[in-house]
Amino acid sequence: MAQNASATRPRRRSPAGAAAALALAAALAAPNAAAQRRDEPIHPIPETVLVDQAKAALGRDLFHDPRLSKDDTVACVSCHDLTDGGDDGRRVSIGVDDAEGKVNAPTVFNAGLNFKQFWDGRASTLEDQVDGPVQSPIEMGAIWPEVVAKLYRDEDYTARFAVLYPEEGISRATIKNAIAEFQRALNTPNSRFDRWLKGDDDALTAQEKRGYRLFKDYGCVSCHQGANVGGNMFQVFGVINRYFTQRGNITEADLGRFNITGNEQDRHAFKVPSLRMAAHTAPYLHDGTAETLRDAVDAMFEFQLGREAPDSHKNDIVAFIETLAGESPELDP
Amino acid sequence: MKLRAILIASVVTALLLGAAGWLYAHPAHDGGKEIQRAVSAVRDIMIASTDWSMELMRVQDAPDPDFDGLAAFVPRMAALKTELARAARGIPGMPQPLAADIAAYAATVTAKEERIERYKSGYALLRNSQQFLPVAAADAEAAATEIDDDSLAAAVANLAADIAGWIDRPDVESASRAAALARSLRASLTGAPASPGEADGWARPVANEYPVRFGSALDAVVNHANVLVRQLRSTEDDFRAAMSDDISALSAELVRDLEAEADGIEAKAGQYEAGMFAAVAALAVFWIGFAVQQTRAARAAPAPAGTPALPPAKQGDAPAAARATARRTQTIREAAASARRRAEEPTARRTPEPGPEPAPAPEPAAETASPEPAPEAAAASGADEPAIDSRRALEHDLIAASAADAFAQSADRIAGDMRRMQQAYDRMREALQGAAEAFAEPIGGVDIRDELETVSTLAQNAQREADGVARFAQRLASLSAGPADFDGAPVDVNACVDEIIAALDAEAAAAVVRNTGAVPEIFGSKSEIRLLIAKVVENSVRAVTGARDGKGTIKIDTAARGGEILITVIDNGEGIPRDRRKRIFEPFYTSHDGAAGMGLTLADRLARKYNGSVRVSSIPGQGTMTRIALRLGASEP
Repeated sequence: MAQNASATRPRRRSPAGAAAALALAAALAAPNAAAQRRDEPIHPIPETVLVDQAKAALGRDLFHDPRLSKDDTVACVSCHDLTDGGDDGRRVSIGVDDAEGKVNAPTVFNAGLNFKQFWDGRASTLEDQVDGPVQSPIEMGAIWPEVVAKLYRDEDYTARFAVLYPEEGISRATIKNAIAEFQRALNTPNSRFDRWLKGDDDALTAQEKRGYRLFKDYGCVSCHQGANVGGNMFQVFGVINRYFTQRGNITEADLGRFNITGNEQDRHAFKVPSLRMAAHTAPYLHDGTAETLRDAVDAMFEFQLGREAPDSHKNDIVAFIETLAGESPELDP
Repeated sequence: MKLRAILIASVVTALLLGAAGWLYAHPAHDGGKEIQRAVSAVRDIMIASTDWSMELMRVQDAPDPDFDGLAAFVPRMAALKTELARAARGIPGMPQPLAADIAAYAATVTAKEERIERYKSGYALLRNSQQFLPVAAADAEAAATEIDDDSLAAAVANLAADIAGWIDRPDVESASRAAALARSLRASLTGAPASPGEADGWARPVANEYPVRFGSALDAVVNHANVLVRQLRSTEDDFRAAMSDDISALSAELVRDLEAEADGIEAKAGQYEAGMFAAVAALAVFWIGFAVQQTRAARAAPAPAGTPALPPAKQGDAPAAARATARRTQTIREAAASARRRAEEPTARRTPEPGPEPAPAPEPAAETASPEPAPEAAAASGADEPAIDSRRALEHDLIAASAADAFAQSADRIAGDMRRMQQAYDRMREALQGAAEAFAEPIGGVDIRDELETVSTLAQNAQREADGVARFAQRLASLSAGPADFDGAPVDVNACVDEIIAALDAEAAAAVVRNTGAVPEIFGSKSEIRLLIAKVVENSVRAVTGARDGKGTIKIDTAARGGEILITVIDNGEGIPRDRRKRIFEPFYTSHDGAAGMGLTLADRLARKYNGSVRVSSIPGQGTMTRIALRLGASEP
């Protein structure tokens, strides 16, 4: 099919036209304002997820079980604290033998909405992701046969696995599946922003609404979009200004997706993180060097947008980001 | 059933069952299913790819798109590729080109995914930079007005106008021009050359002479213009490549190839199935044939002793059989007597023809049966033809007579045995008769009346044998030729010897050493005497021919002593072993193939006619001496 050069340019509406359209839409939509879903690049998180409750419960226990680590000291929850936003509040995590991690721990909440897992996107499913920490010598340092053996010594696990996975019992695959099933249930729907998206005008303050508009106008939404406000694409970090040259001390983890694909275009490319739980997951960026949300926003403006913005705008954007987190029973036990 | 038969049956069964089993289990049977799975995976991929392209178009056209839709295809395609790979692995004997096609197809899907990833990244950058660039230009223009420099202000205004114009007609050339303009502008401010090396958009801070705001605004213009230059074309290429319809065409081709492969596998599976059925059928045929053969073998096996499988005979025939046998026995006796007479009678006439050959004997023959006078393996290559014929005729007469004589002796014995056998059957029958009257019911499964019938049958069989022997005896007795008539005339023995030597073949003649002495004439039949000597010489010739490395010797002496003519034949052949010496005069006894074994028998008979004798002495390994003694005046009339 023939494409001309203009096809790559998104359409720009003229201000007058936009105003007219808005007015018309408002006039039409007014009686139904409360129920109207807004057509926005960010979508609400689905409120229900189809999950096997028994397997999720088993996965929850495994998520909290340090026997998945080499010396029974580190569990998933050690770096993904469910009561505190799903990460550990550290720049990088500490694993077995006090080993220091290479990247900032992302949140486990809403991880099921990401199209791939890890900063470099090397895991395609939640099940695949479990292999990473369990086997990494600087995280949990275990090997699967040991883990399986340890769990078999627990009668409760043996019985539950026998019921839920009658053909395989306790195995690497079934442990991964149970944990993944639990994680699929860790979505946080019903955030204030989602409610606003669904038509509740009062769900956001004026500043927050302003912040969202700025988020869009500045172009943040080009990458942080979708139901997870991110998590569905890769992008080079430091696309306008060289971040790594400025920070220095480039590590292998800084190469990002280049480590997986070997493509030069993927050098320093990372999966765009979700902003859903951003209000709760300081510090930020893959190297954890942005300590506050404001710092992260500053870094984005400098390196990803290559433009300046007044403080008030950035604060509004921060306020908007703080409306993105939703509810989960795990957050407030 | 014999062990060997069991072994053969087991091996054949195992082989055929093994072949059938292998053919049944061969993966060719499942190939069709796997190919169907592969085909449906390809079709699903084709559909998903089309949907993906549609979503891509929607994103392209939407004002504020999100990429959730595009991202959702990633796990979907991954699952379909895995399904295709799994199905492909299950296809037996997949040809290399087809495997390569499937791999290339999967790679095409992966390539589409990578294109779309790059498109997403590029799209976001383009969108932002396109949005911001005019803003940046306006910003720079505003900042420039704060600086009291008209030319700078004018240059920046030009740049801003250019960019604004470019926004309306975006293309790479305009963007390049704008970028170049901005770069040169900045360069003029900073004093640094506007090198193309900065085209990647990494701007250096403008010198601090100018307000930071202006410098950073100009940097922003340069950077974003560079992004546009870089991304515009590549994102467009990524879009076009991702939208291209390769996958549809490739899918159709691949499905065609897979279905062709399925046809091939089906054909092969059909062959395998046919082979399997053939193996099973062969097994069935083998077992049927085997069973038939084993049944036949069992039937043909001789009945165990004590249970003759003969049809029962009527009771009343037993005495008749006995009488018939007695008659036959008598016949045999008479035939034997007649034969003996003929053998002893002097011959009245000689028949020029050779004697009739008797028919071959039936089974119950005596030990000297087989009266087949095989023609003597002749060392006689004749001097004159009539002489040979008459010699042969004489031989045949004599042989027949000897045979008849031998038979006569045996026949007497046979007759006696048969008479005794019939008597035994009679006695048995009488005893059983009495028992049958006493034991009317079967005892221990044995019915006496059945046994009576058995005896009758045996008696009948004996009668049949007697018939046979009697017929044989009559045939022999009808031999018309007896020995030739006795001709009397004076005979020169030395002349006989000469004639015999002359009739020998070259090799034999060379071995002969003649040592004839002065011998008076003897009255008798020249042909008989010549035959007599010839028979003995024949034996010696046979003994030395081919032996003793050509140093075989036959010495023939003639001498007269004490009213007898002595003809001595000495050879240095292998001699006669002691255990055989006794039998050499027996009719038909020979140690040589092709000889009738009648030589010395005849010689002996002839010698006795002349009141003479034939004596043989032999040293095994050294030689044999045969001495013929003929009494002078024995046969003078």
